[in-house]
Amino acid sequence: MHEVSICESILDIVKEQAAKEGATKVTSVRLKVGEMAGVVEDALRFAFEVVSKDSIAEGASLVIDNVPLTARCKSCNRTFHIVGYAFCCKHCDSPEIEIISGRELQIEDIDLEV
Amino acid sequence: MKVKVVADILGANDRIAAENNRLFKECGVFVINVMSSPGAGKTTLLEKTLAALKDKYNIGVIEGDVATTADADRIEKMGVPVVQINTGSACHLDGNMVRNALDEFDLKSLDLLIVENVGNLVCPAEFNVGEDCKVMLLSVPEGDDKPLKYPLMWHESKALVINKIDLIPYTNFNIEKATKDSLTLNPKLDIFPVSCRTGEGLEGWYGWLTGNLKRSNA
Repeated sequence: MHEVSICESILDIVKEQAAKEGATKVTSVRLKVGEMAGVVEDALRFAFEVVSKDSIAEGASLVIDNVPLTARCKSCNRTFHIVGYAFCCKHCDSPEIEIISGRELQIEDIDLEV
Repeated sequence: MKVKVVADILGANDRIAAENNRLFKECGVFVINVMSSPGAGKTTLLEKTLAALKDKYNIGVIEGDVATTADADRIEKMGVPVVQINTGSACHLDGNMVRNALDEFDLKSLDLLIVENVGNLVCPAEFNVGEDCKVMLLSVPEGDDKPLKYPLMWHESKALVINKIDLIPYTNFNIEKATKDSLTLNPKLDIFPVSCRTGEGLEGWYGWLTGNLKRSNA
């Protein structure tokens, strides 16, 4: 349900950029969404459609680049993909790990018509 | 024309949350953000916690709900300052909502501010409000499968209170499984099985909270 709030934030950033470039239309928005960003892609697409209605971004396509959830072990220094949300090192079992990707929720770029 | 942006979508919220956190630090108030599904017992846990600690510490409460002041009314009876935020339709509190509520408190006089989030196991985990840590509540009737279904919230929390353990004999809730799964998601999670109804286990939770309060004020 918070996908609506997220899309409102996306639209704020998109509108600001479009105004800066003097754009007449936004045709596409590319996002980077981590595996553990806590958003559901279908809900995000639906919310964007609703939120962008009657705005400069109405009808823009949402391109989503997924980022896997990966971590680095502070004990053995190896990096690995976290599967099943098991937050310990899959090589040495240490719980001392740091997430290096998978929490992203970013706008990468925007396609504009000027 | 392609425009490179690279902007955090929740950056605006994170900036406000960081400002809130700076203000809390300046005023010397420790802030927890309490999250759970609806009906897990957040407000009851707050009532118990206030009864146990309000004579020793100055505590304020922010109540977040979609509608009504029912929870704030309950907290007000405990004799502590409380502000109700009605989110209208939003399923979570955000940094800005909490910032707007802060004017109602004399923050410098508080030791602890408890933010009770909207009942929801998904969205509140994504929106920082400036808290020092997140605490979550799981209640026995919800089932022991919840940790693995809602990994983000478990991962983001520093402490987990498992409430309504007096009901375990009447359900198939397996507390070993709930504990094991919780620690898989978050190996550093502090877990407190309690019953707010009987009072069992609450001392451990109070100890955790006062330990954190003392550390933050040291």
